[in-house]
Parts: sequence; structure tokens; C-alpha cells
Amino acid sequence: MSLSAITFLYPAMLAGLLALPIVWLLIRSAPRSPKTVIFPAARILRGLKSKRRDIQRAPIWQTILRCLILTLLIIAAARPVMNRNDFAANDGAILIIADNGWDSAANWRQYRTALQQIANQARFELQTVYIAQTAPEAAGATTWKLPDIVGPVSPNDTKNLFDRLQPRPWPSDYAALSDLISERPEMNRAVGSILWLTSEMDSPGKAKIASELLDIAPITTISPTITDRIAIRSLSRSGTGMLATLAHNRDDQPREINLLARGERGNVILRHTVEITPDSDQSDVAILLPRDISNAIQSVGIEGVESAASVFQTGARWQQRRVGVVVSSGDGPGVLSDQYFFLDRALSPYADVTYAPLGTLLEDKVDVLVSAGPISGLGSQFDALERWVNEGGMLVRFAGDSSSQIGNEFLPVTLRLGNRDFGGSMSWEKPKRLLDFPDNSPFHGVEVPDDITVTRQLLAEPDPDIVSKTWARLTDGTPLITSTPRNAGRIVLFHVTPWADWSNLPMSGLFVELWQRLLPLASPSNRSDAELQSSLPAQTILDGFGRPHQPDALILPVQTPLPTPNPRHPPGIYGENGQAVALNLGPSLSDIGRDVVWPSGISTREITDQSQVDLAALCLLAAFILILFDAAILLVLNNVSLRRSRRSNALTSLLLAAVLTGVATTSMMMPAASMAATLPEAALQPRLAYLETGNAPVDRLSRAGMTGLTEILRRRSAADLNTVDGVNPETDELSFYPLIYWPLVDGQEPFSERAQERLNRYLNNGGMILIDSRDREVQPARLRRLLAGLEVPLLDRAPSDHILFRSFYLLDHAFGRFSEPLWLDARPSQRLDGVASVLFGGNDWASAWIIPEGRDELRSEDISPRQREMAYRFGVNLVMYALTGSYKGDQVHIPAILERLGR
Amino acid sequence: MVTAPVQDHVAAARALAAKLPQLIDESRRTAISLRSGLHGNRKVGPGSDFWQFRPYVPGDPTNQIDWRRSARSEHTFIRQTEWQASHNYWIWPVLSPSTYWASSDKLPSKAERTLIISIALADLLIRNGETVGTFDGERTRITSAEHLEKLGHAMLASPQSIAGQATNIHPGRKHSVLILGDFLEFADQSEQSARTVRRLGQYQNDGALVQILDPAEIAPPFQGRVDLFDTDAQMIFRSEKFEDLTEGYKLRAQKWRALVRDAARQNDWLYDRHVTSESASPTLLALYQHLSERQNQSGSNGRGRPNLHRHNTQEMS
Repeated sequence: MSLSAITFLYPAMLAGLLALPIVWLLIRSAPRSPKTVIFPAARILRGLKSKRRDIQRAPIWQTILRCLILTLLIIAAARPVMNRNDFAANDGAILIIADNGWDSAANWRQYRTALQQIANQARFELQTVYIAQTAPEAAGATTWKLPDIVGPVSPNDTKNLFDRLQPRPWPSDYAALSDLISERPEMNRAVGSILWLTSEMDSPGKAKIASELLDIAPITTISPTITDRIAIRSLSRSGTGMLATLAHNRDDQPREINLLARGERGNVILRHTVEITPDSDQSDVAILLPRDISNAIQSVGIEGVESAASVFQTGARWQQRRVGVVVSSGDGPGVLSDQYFFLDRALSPYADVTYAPLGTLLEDKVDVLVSAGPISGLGSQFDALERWVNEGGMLVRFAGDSSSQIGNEFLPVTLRLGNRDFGGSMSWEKPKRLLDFPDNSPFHGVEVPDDITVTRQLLAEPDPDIVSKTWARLTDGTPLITSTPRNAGRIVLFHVTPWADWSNLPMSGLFVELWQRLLPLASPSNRSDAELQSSLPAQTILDGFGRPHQPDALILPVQTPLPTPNPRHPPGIYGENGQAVALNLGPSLSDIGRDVVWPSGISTREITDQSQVDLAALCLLAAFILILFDAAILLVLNNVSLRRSRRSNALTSLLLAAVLTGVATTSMMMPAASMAATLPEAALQPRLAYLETGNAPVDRLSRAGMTGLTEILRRRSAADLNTVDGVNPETDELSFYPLIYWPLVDGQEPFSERAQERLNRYLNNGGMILIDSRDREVQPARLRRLLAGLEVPLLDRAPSDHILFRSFYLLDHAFGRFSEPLWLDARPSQRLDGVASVLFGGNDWASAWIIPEGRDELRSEDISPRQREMAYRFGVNLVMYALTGSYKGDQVHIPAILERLGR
Repeated sequence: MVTAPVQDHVAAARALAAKLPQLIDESRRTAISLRSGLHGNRKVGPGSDFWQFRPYVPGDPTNQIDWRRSARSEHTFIRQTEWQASHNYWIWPVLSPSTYWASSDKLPSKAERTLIISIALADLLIRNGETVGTFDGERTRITSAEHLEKLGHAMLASPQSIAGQATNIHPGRKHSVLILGDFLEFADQSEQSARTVRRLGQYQNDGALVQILDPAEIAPPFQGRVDLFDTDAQMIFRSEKFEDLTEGYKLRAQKWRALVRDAARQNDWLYDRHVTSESASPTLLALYQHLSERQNQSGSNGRGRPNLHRHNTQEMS
């Protein structure tokens, strides 16, 4: 800390220091009050005159002390500020470009600090602010676009806007930003300086937009102090463990990072330290791991880097299955290498392949059984095999050799006798090719190469359900791969041999891809009766920080081939069970190591953690302490005993100091608060409220629930409500609140007349109360007993077409923790526009509205995510209903109105 | 420095009275080193001790003839015993309101010290067989050490100023008068006070004035702006800068003490000064020695001021 870091907001106040010498003289000449001493012998002094009658001066230390106090007060009035950040010239508005692409997440905390500092400065200098983001967001039905530039806003309003900025797990779109900015000529005229919070990473269009922006106003880029960028480009399994490829920026220092592999519940399975060599932008890491540990890995992240790019999720295909190939005990090794050569090549990189007789394999509990031709050794193991399939095993069968008969059991379809031969020397027909894979097939989306030919196949009987069982068919429509679930298990039949004499499929790359799709389906957790889907809905999505979330309605399902992450398809896990695929950000990133080359004329500065410190409070505190010190010295010097009446002097001094400091502090800290002291906060901004029951856990629950609902509303709707209030009708004015949540508790005191009168007035004037019995029991009679004295209207079950259920979302129940029916005004007053004033139910809404965050004591475990989501929706509907009344009900007439207008 | 204001000297006196047994105890301890036995008057009188033989003259009671002595010679001798009569002492502690003040909590008030010295002296004298009294309304006199407490109460009830008491108090002829106090009234009423003292010494009375002072009264320790109050909370004096007054005070204090001393001198009495910060013993010793000297000088009946014609007969042997 140096003195130069201190600046004064009101330096003119320092002129007050000029008065210091005068004050010095005043203090110095002010006599102290005389000491009183009892001294009987003083009577001999009567008539004695002192030689000089000069008044005693205040002692020098006291003068200095008091002048110091005054100096401190003057300095405090001048508002000294330490580490003042001058981001932009005080000239016109500020355009803040907040980079919120994926690379911003790792430095988001610093960005937030910088945003705060910028807002502070703008507040000091009364500049308006425009805020632009660089990451696109979902818009329209299936598309996305860059959010509009917000502004001009006053710096005081920026806090909410800043709170809404989030790093996104997809790249920035600078070209779109350039278009956006050029669409706002009036902004470009107003803007005096541009502050760009961005990292040094190069992205397409970044340098270009920078040079374009320079034409508008001078740019200052504000970059984080941490310049490390790192992403997991790919992650794959090797025979001995796994391989990771890291992309990162070049650095001349060796670095160490830690890879964290996490399991299903987010528990850390593995922590691997990686040395990153200097001057490279890519590192390959091989980690030796046992197979079952690798299988358990759900995601790999980088310790200390919170970014979607540093999280690589694995999906179902990651887990290696144990594949058993059934051989008869008589087969020699030659047969194995001969017949199963291609199969082995296709399987072994992704699975653990063993060759053994059926009995051994069943005992080993393999995930997948592969058999070519008749299953050897079936006779004695028939029951065991059936049980294994029923319990979730996956049996993959191939045609055998020329003997061609592979038996009647354990087949997905009925086979015709004999096989079909085409393209051979005995046939006129040409070899057949493959058609594209149908929708119901797990192979859907896999590119079929042209050069796959089939010369012989097993023919299936054209049963009625043959279409749904077929996963692949030839150009003439005959099935090539068929499958059927059997209880928890599944049977798959390739209508060709696993070696290359019937078709060249086994030697093709397609064979490998087919196995890659097939193996994950054999997951032990897989429900084979579940529909195989070609478009995979999102299961969990990552936010910009790489933290998993439940997907919302904006997320679209993915289809293979996987898209690059974008606002409609953020990184995450899509599809269920064996079909779960991971969409990762890392593979789509390229060149993250390259630094951007800024055009000349751009000034850069780093974000500093040293936030502005207002020293005024410090000065006031010091002055206060000195005043206390002064008083203490006076106490000691004057021998004033506090027990005696002579304390008044010292006490006056103490009190004066306290009052002075208090007044000064309040006037400095809360200029607005003093003005608004007479008005309740709630009158200035709408907010939800809950009735304070006096039962602390219930009140805490209510507050948390309503806070959660407020947050949900802020995220999903235009209703930006302020923090929740707890109200007590005995003391508080209710009329400011659009909706009051009232949980019933046992033994609640009946309201006083005053409170009843207040509640009645509230209801009569259009207030709305949601009464929650919290125990599923909804008996209006019981309510009436509890609410004696209140003018509760006649209640009736809410009809399913009530506006409440369509004011924002379309719902069919008043979802809370339970889904019991809701009761409300049977005949709402027309004076209130037909809007119900009392709603009564027992669904324990507050506990459903809590946004679960970590280990919260309020978190109730028995609410499923879906139930919670529905409760949120009901909450949004409810508040919309409370805020807009019957407006949404009128909207049903819009077509008719439009029609009339058109006429 | 903490001043203990004495607003209510009556209450202070009462507190002192309550402390009396303790003070008596303290006085006894002070006196014990100085104590000696019953002393003779070195003069013929009633008593049990032999004093002298005297030739018989007619008219002498015959039962006084010491036959054994008479048998040794031709004359008849009368055995005379020493006159063993007590002398009268009046001890008057002047407990004016100002004496209840002490400049510091650590010091005893002047009144307390005055009373201690008075009682200690009384104790000493009584043990020597003297009669000690004080000038309360009843003129209490005691001869026995058991009655010291009664004397103490009487002392507390004795007049609280010297001036104007000249006509009320009459010690007997040749009785000794000991006056103890701070004698502040000499500062403004020196004439009347001196007159009283002179009257108390008019019948060959021996005596002493013991001025008991607080150290602050000798060298006041105050500084700066000070308002000086009397014990009755009346402001006496305001000093802007007390340091300037210290010299003037000392001069006036000397003059004041000189007035007291002169009052003692005019009667040829002892003047002694005691400061409460010091031990009481030296003062007590000085007083006792003074009384003993006077006794020696004045001979058998010789308390009171020494007279020039003494009838001192040596023992014949």
C-alpha cells in the first residue's frame, strides 16, 4: 500500500485543513475547567493575588490530539479511496463487453470482481453503462442468437444484470457481436470507452472485431491474471488404462496439473498429476488403470479449473464389456485365429474378450456372449443360458459355416431352412449392399460405406413384427441384423458369419463401429425393454463451470453424428442407459494455445484483486478511537471517579464522540436509507412474502421456499422480484405484497382483531393468500375453523381449466411436494376482476420450491427432480396469476379479437 | 490526589467515636514504650513511701514518731512519708470541622490523629497516677485507665474552637493544659484564640499547644486551575495557576504557625507541630519529656510553670 494508491473523491473538502491553525489556536487557548479541591487551609490564602493573571493553556499534547481528530474528520469528509480503479476515461458511456464463452469460466470470479469495480467507478463518475455478451443463447424454436446489448443502464442497476451473466459452455461468437454492435448506431455515438473483459486466447473474429470497435471508441481489454488455458481434448481407453489429450496454451515454464477422475456419484476415483512441458500446446497422458476402475469413471476433470472445457464425460460407450466367445472345447488355437480374427480385431480395443466353452463363460458372468453357428455345449447349459439372458445378458449370434443350421432356440426371429446365396458362382444375383440403418436401430446415424457386400445370408421368416426387430437390412429389404429383447436381456443375430466368407462386413471398419454401438447396450444397468431411441434427449447438461445440471426445456435432443456444443446442445450426457453418449466441449476446441494478436491502439490491463477501499470509514474509526483516548486521559487527569457525580464531564465527551461518529457513519454509509426510513422497502419493489408463524423451522422453510421461487421466477420469467419478506399481520402492513404464503402450523394463535381486520382489508383489496396445510389434508372446513374471524370466501376445488393452470405453463395439478387438489374462491368477486383471493391446499409448496444447494438442512430428499420441476412451474404460474390476474384468461379470446380487428 | 471532602463533620465525629476502642488500643500501643510506674511527688505528703525524718516538735501526732530512728540518737524523729497526690492534666483536642479533612485517603484525618495523641497521652499520665480531664460540658476527669473510653467520648464532646472559650474554661491552679488541633482559627481569629490560650495559662498553668497538620497544609501539592473549597463546600478561593501561589501560601502558613507558636510562648508553654504523615510517637515523646522536665524543674508540687522559690528538701540520711 502506498500513498499514491489513495485518491480523494471530494478533494475540495481538504481545504478545510486550512482552518486547522485557527482551530489549533482556539483549542490551545481554551482553558480547562478548574479542578475542585477541598482544602480547608486555603482560608489563609484569602486576599492573596496571583502575580500574573494569565489563563492557563490547554496542554500541547491535548491540542495535538484534538487537531489530529479534526484532521481525520476532514479527511473522512473528503472520501479517500484506496486503489481507485480508473478503467475508462470519464467521457461518455461505457460499453462493457463481457466475454462469457467457455474460456471465461475459469476466470469468472475475477471477471465478476472487475465488473464490480467497473460499476463502482461508473457510479462514482455517473456514467451510463452498456453491457454486451459474446456467447450466444437459445432463441426461437431451435436456433440461437447473441443476446441483445443491454443499455443504457445506470450503474446502480447493473448489479442484477451482472448477476445474470453466466459463462456458457460454448464458444463466443464475435462475428455476431460485430453485427449486433453495428445495429446500434445510437449506442456507438454515446459510448466513450469500451471495456472488454476477455482472456488472451485467440478465437475466430476476435482481432477483427477489435479493430472494428476501435473506430467507435478506445478499447481497454481487461484480462485475468491467470492466463493458463487448458482443455481436455479427448479421452479414450487403451488396453492398459486410458489416454487423455490435453490442449493448453504455450508456456515457457513447466506446469503441473492434476487430473481428477470422478465416479458415478461425483466421488474422486483417481488423481493423476501431469507434467506439462514448456513450449508445447498439447500433452498426451497415458494413465495405467485396472479395467473395472476405468469402467467406473464417469468424468475426468482438471483440479482447480472450473470450466466446461476441462470436464470430459464418458458416457455409456466408455465402459468396457466382458465379451465371451463360445468355442467348443475341441477347437484348437488355429481355428480361433482363423475364424475369429476379424471379430477379435473389432472387439479387443473396446472390450475384454475371452474364448472359452459356454459353461465357463456363464460362470464367469460375462456381459456379452458371442457364438458363431450352433451354440456348442448348449445341451447341458440350456437352462443356465436362458437364465443368463433373462437376467440381462446379451447374446450375439452369427451364422455358422456351411452346415448352416444354427438351431431354433435363442434367436430373435424365425429362420427359414437353408441360406440364401447370391453373387456366388452358382447364382445370377449380384451381391447385395446395406441400406441405411433404420430409426429403431441403435446403429442409426452410422455411415454405411458403399463397398460392403453380402453374398450369403440366413433368411428370416417375414413375421409381422419383423420390421421392429430388424436393425439392419439389405438393399432388397431382407434383414441382416435382427434383435429382440428377452426379459432384461437381449438377443442379436447377425445373419452372416463372423468371418469373411459370406460378406466382407467383418473385415470392414463398419463392423468396428457396429460393435461400438452394440457393446454399451449390454450394460448391466440397461433395460433392454426400453425403446431404443434415435434422437437422444439430454439427461444432464454442464454449465459454463463444468457443473452438471438438470436440462431445461431449451435443450434439444441430439442425434448422431454429435453436433459441436451450442446453446441448444450444451455439453452433457444425452440418451439413457446403453445409449448414453457424452457431448464434450473439448474435442470441438482447436488452437486454444494461440494468443490473440491485438491490433495496435488497444490498451490492456490486468484485473487486480485490490478492490477499492473506502478509507473514510477507517478515518472515522480512528477519530473515534482518538476521541475515546482523549476522554480517557481526561478521566485520569481530573481524578474523576465514575461513581461520583463529577463523571458528567467525561461522560459528555464519550457520548459526544459516540453520537458524532454514529451520525457521520450513517450519513456516509447509508445516504438512501435515511430517506427511505419512513417507507417500507416492500413499497419500492414488488416481492413475495410469507406469514411468520413464530415456529422457527417452518419460517426458515417458508423463507427458503419463497426465495427459491423468486430465483426461479427471475430465471424463467420477466418477474424480477426482490428478496422475500416475512410478514406478521399483527404489526406489518400487508398491502405491498402481491402474494402471501401462509403455512399452517399446529397450535397457531388466533389473530387479534387488528390483524384480522388487516387481513380482511388485504383480501378485499385484491391481495392473494396461499394457505398451505402442508400435510396433504385439504379440508376447507378445517380451514374455516382455523381462520375464525377472517372473511374467507366460499371455497371450491379449482377447475382443471382455471387460469392458474395456464398463466405461464400448462399444468394439470397444483404441484408441490404432493399433488393434491387446490381449493380457491368459488365465486370470486367481480370487483376483483374475478381473481381468487384465497387459495388453499396441502401440498407443502415451500419445501418443493427450495432450490437444493449442496447439503442443506432444509433440503427434503423425498422430492423427485421431476416433482420439484413441476412445483417450480406451479409456483411460476401462481405468481403470474397473482401479478397479472385474469389477463392470461383474456388471452384465449385473442384469435377472436384479432379476427374482428382484421375485419 | 484524591480529596476526601468532609461535608458532615458531625457524622465524621460519630464515625470517629465508633472507632474509639480501636483508637484507644492504638494509643496504648503508642504509649506503652513511654510508660513508667507510679511516681512519687518528691515531697512530704500522704503516701506509703518513706520520704524523710524530721525532728519531733510538739504538736506532732505521736503515732508518727519513728521509734527505731529515735532510739539511735538523742532526738526524737518523726517519720514522714512522701506526698503521693496526683496532678491534674487537662487535655483538649480541638476537633474543629476542618480537622476531619485529610488530603489523601492514605492519611488519617487530623481529628483522628489528634484523638490518638490525646488518648495516648492521657493513658500515659493516668498510668503515672495523674488525673486527666477534658473540657467537655461536665469537665470529665478520670484517674483510671479503664475509663479512657469515657474520656475519649468526652474529648469528642469538647468545644470545637478555641476562640471565644476564654470565659468558659477554667482549669484549676497549676493544672496542666494540653491543647491539640490544627489551630486554623489562628489564621483569621488569632487575637481571640491567643487570648483564650493566655487565660488558660494565667494561674501558673503549664501546658502545650500541639499543632497537628496535614502534609498538604505545609506544602500544597496542587497545580494549575484549582477551585479550593472548605469542608462545608463553600468556595474559598480560585487559583488560575496554583504554582504561582505556592510561595505566598508557604509564607502565610509560616506566619500562621508563628501565631500559634507565639500564643504558646506567651504562656511559656511547649509548642510542637505534628504532621499526620509521620508517626505519632515522636510527638508523644516530646510532650511527655516536656512534662517530665517540668516535673523535675518544679519539684514536688511542681507541675505548672516553674516558680523560682522552690522548697526542696534533700533527704537526710
